[in-house]
Amino acid sequence: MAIVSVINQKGGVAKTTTAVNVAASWAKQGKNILLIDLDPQSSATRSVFADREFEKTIYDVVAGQVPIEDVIVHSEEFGIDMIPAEIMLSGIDMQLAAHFGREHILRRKLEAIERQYDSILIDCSPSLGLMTVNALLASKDIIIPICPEYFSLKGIELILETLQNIRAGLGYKVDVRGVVITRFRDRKIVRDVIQQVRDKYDLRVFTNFIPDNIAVEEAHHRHRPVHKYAPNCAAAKAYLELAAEIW
Amino acid sequence: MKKGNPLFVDSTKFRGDLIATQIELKSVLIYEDEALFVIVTTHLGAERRIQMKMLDDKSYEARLHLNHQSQIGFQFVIEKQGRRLLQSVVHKGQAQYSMIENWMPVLEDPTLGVTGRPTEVDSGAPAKITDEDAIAWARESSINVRSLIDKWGL
Repeated sequence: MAIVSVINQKGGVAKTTTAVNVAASWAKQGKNILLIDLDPQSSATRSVFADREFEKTIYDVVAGQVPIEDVIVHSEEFGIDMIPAEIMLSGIDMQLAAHFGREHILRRKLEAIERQYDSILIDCSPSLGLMTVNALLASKDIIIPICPEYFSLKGIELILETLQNIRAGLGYKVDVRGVVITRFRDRKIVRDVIQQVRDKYDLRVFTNFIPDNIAVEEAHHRHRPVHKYAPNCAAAKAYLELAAEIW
Repeated sequence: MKKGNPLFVDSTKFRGDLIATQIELKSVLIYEDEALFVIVTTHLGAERRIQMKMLDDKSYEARLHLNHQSQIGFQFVIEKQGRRLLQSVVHKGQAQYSMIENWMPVLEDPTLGVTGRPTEVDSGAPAKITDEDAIAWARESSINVRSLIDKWGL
């Protein structure tokens, strides 16, 4: 069992879309998957469950109000278990600022359920706060989605600096499992950026790039995994192959 | 998101608790007959000198126990047969789980050459006298002779 965070401190890189579709692809491949939405904007929750309201969310778990088992919901459409998020999560940093062991809360909560799953995927907030640090300390490694056309290399630098700060200040080493290329369009500048990621940062770039395809956005808005919404489109196949490559 | 960010301070450790600190030096090349040391000065002024071990081709590490968040200084030194060849500045910071620096030697010892390596001196070779040396010697000698004449009235 591995806990993996999907993170990029730069927004607009298809982070949530990647988390949701990789989770659904793993589930399609027979894996037992839990997806945790740790972003107060709740994009992953909305992507899977549309406007469904949840009485209890990850906020209640982290605040110590309910056991983690009580907030897990199952999505038949995606074939995964999920822990939803809510906007209240944005204020949790202040509430937990003086909490002893505040950076290990999520890791301790996950100990109760981690054996039930083949993998747990965490969709992190793009901002660096206590919940993102919690996600990183709960994770064995991370996946960084980037959209090279928009030159999101700055996001990679921020993450690597965060990982170094976590190692220095909290004594925990998080590895980068790899970089996912999203919204790929075969242009010279895109190829150059991808090569730069390999050379400058010495990071593994997954070879299954996710092509820029409208079906991905449509599937997101119709609350379906792209491999079900448009099974024959290039992006659907790419996500399935990417999921296998990441695993 | 710099070193003082409280997000990256371990809330389970109080200031002063002992923690295992790993000090790393990157981008450094050590020859076989050389040794790399880190000299750590604790917040109490005590000095500890530890030989660093190779981590990978160009990285070395040393581990020691320090008081969490206490102010420390540490300096990297390359030595050959007990003689200091190169040294870094004294880095200062608060003790945490890992402290990583890139190798950047400084020149403080006048015997060190421009490149930072000590100047090679062949003690068996005859000293080479330049014109400037000869002129300076003659000038100094003439001053000495003049001073003797003035002093003794010769």
